[in-house]
Amino acid sequence: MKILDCEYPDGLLYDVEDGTWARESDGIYVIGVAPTLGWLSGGFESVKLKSVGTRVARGQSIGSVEGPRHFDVVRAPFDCTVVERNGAVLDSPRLVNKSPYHDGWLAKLKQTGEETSLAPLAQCAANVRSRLLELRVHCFAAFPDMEIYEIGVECAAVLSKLDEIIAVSPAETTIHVVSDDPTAAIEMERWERQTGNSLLEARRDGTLFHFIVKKR
Amino acid sequence: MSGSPKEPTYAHPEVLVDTEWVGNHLQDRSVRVAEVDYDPVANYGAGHIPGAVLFDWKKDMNDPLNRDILSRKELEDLLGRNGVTKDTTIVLYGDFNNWFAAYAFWDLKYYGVKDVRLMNGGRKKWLLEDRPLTKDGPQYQRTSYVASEPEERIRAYKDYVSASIRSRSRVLVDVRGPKEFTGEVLAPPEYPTEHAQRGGHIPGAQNIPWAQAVNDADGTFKSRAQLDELYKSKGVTADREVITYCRIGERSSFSWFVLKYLLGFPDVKNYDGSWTEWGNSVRQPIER
Repeated sequence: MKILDCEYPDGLLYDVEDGTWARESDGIYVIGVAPTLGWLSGGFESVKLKSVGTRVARGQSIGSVEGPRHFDVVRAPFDCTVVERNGAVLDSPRLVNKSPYHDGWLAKLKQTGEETSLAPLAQCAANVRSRLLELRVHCFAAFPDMEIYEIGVECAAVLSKLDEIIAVSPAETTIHVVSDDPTAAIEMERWERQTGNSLLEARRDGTLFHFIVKKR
Repeated sequence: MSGSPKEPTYAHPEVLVDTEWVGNHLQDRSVRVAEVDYDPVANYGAGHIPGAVLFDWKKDMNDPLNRDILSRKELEDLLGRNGVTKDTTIVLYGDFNNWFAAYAFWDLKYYGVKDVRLMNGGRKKWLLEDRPLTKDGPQYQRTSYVASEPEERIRAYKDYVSASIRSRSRVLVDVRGPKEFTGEVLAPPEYPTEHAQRGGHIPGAQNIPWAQAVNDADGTFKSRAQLDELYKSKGVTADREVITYCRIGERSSFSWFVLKYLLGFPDVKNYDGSWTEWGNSVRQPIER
């Protein structure tokens, strides 16, 4: 289900306090980062995980994640042993933001103690919502590779900057553009038609306009 | 006796405490630990060192109206309502690799507070070590703290910086990232309000990013020998007066701390106006 524009799949377990999700099969839990922590971070630049075989007590860290806006540890939701680490996210931390529930998982844990901090979504959706509001986390249609904040700048100038960045970026680069020019919504639609790049989302938040664009 | 030379220590090691020291002083009534956060909701509010008070950088460390650091009266109130006396040892730590804790350190020194220390590695190291955290807000009996007149020798203003350009006896250290130094980036998107009209750096400034002074793994300071070499290689030496700056003066407080306390340079000033003043001012010379 969507909670305040953030994706929280129904079948998973969540540790709201810690900002993680988990999926169980045969006593092994796959653990990953939920939107609260993922979007708060501004995009991970570093992911560190304890080595396979490490025993971790509930509430102690199995690793850490760091982005330009936030550093945090990821805690074990129960007493456990680390049985596998996702090497892909150690090499490309952004994968945790881009694909939080699939390729961007962090580790697999074998539960060794009974007490758990995990709860199904039906039990914790209200907490997720209040946590997102408290942290002022906003989720968008896709996690951007970069952000351009252009406040007090005319939309034409914003677009020329966007074009410059798009020109040197690889295909499918996703950019979050923020503008306070009232004509931005119309201009961005025209830009999409003219350039053939995609406008994945346009959202107004007070006097600010948020756009998620993707290079074709 | 071992023949190997002793590793040189910091010039003023007493201003730095490690996480273990803080862990051993949680019950010490003569110590007041304060977490200094840019983002208190996601940090202090999510759990902090037991007994630690919060210094909210935006609300507590700045003048609410004029662009300035907090006034002497505001500092006296901040320390007073957190139960600080003249005999208290204040230990600061915080989010963002201690940037804002270093800024608070500089603020407190500006108003003559004697015993202020920084916890090496900040909030990051405390979390990495799985040390205890609490969400309980502590209560301390209010005191009436009296601060000193401002210590202007540790603060630089725009005109003074202008007069220091290409001076032989003074050196400007720009501690921002290389892309901010060259003007390619005006303000990282994380801080949209810290925008400047022009990009670049103050003419003649040396670019020594703050991060080069810390170990990536846990955010602690590099060794004395490594720091000595880092600054010496850029011509920043103790015989010159050093002025540090960044975008809003917080990362430069961090480098100011390194130069003044870890390396013991006699004359180091923080230009807190930094790029958000320089790059927005008319007719200030800029180099790219």
